[in-house]
Amino acid sequence: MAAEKIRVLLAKPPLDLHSRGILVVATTLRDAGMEVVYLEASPKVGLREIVQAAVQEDVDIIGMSILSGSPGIILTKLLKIRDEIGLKDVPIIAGGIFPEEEIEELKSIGIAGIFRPGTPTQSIVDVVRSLAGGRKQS
Amino acid sequence: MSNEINEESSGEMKEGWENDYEQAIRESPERKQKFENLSWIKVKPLYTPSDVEGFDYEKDLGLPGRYPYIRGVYTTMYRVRPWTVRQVIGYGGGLESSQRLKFMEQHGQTGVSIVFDHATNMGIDSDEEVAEGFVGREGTHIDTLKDMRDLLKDVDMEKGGINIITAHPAVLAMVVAVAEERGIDLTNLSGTIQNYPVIGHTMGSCSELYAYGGAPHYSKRFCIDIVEYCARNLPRWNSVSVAVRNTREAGCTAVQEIAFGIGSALAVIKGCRERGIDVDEIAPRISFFLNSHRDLFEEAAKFRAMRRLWARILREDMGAKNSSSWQMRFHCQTSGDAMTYQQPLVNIIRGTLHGLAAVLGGCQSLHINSADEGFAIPIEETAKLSLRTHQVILEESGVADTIDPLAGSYYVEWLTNKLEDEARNILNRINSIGDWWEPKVREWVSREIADASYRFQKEVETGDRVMIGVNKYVEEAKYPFPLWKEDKDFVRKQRERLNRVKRQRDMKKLEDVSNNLISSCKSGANTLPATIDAVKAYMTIGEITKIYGENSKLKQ
Repeated sequence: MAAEKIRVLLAKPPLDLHSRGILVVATTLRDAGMEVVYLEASPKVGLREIVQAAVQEDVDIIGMSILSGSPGIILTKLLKIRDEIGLKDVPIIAGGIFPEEEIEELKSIGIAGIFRPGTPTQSIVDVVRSLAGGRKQS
Repeated sequence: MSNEINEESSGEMKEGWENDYEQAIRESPERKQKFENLSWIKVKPLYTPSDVEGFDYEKDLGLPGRYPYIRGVYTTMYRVRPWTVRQVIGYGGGLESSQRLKFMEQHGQTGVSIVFDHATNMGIDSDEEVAEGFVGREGTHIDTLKDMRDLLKDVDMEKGGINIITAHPAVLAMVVAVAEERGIDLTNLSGTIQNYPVIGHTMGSCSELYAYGGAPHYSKRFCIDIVEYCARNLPRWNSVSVAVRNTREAGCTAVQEIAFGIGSALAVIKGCRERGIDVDEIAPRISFFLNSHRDLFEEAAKFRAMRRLWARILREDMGAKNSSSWQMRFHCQTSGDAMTYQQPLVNIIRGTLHGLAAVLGGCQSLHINSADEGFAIPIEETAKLSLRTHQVILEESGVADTIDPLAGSYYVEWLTNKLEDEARNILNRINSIGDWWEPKVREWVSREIADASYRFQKEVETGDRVMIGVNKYVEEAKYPFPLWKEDKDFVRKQRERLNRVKRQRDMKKLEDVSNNLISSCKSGANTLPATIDAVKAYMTIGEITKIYGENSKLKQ
């Protein structure tokens, strides 16, 4: 029986329109055999809607791309909503521009992986597999 | 011996040289597997007259300030008037950004360009939950007319022209209101609003209006409202700036940049025609906002090719009679995409080359990105270095001393022809798919952009495309400048400003302008006059936007 595919939700915070990076990541993960659900940035899709989409789509991991919002404010809130909704076992990773001094802090509050500019896409595939692939293989 | 050479035809001479070249690279191979520019066009080792066969100087090149404008839109170009030094500015609120505007002017900036945050462009007030983490971070946040007044307090509105990177009618309305307060005759007010017709989701594009619209035809209405209002009331104001520069940043190629830029500009002209506005009334007020990327000759040729293609299409296909309609004027911002997060100082060198390409290509106005492009808003020191880069190109390098210095180069003219031809093919393709405002065109364009971006990324990862500091000469480099630090207290301050304005408003007046705005939205009249009245009564951008959204439901 074929292994079930890893399901990934990729999203942007509501007002962050820089989509180039996340689209490259989406294609890369698809090419690596994963199912990718992509939520375009929109003021109608707040952080709560993102977590709800993760529930509906039954994803194994959430990837956030943040280029213009404040990563500290956004990710802290996203983690809080995720925990409230009871989705604690779905890890959150993030890519984009992060001030050096915030990285350790973001990891300590529970962000499972952070990818800054210049990251080879293969290393994103590897991290997603190791974080989400416990239950599934792709 | 010399006789023998003379008797050989140029064709034979070239053939002989080509054989020698083949022979030589069999012995020692070329330094790269492939020589391709960023549009994946193969670049040959040498270009000769045979590559531009049939080239007609008068028809294909001509003279500066004359059709087909390939050599420049103005007769005198930089000999008389250098390009405008227009570094984009925007962070915090009106007061914060106004300080940077002043600093830049003191160091040689000659034009103003303001970028607003996405909250402003989408019409979201600083105290709305969805804006959390975004207010004043990526551009200036504006809630009310008070903020606009603060922003422009030290700007001479009658000099140099103000560029506003937005498609929100209320932002333009606020600029108009401030100009009126200062007693400026609106027929003399010069500037540019981006108002970029639907394509992807980029800064200052009409698609940002999706936030309150949800359909392309909805943003089309507001886009054309702005164009129509400007054509009738602000004759010196550019009502559309085709910001295909940002589309390039999203990953499209130089050829696609030409095609998508011209395609969206033509969509505006056609949209205006539906309202009875003639091409010659609007085309002279369309300007372009282009990228300048890492391949110097490709970029210089791109600007030239685009200028000629625009002139030809406007005159031959669109029936424009006014020569101003044929002239493609453009502002250029160098590529951020071609800059790196690694070894940031190298970005200063890149910025110099990208700026040089824009100048060789005849830009009217230019922004050169700063060393810290990959991190944050530039700090004062790096922003000033960008100004100095302009100044070195203009005042030391000599490249601006003669007009269109690359003209006549076999390579550049061949490449210019090639880019023009390929861009025309893409435009034909778009026409065969449908109308620019239709979602299916937008989807096709978005996919093309994403495909090109992915292909480029893969080439970087395999090392086929070298990016210094990313996949070659990699090292941990010390960076001598501090990085921009946002004021963590700013959002609180901005909300306080907003509340203060709200408390002092005349509620009766507010109700009147609100009713007026609602009826203009519903009736299908131009929304600008009512929006101007609304901002004067201190209606917030969020309140205005909600009225737009609730009262402008279109059938289409």
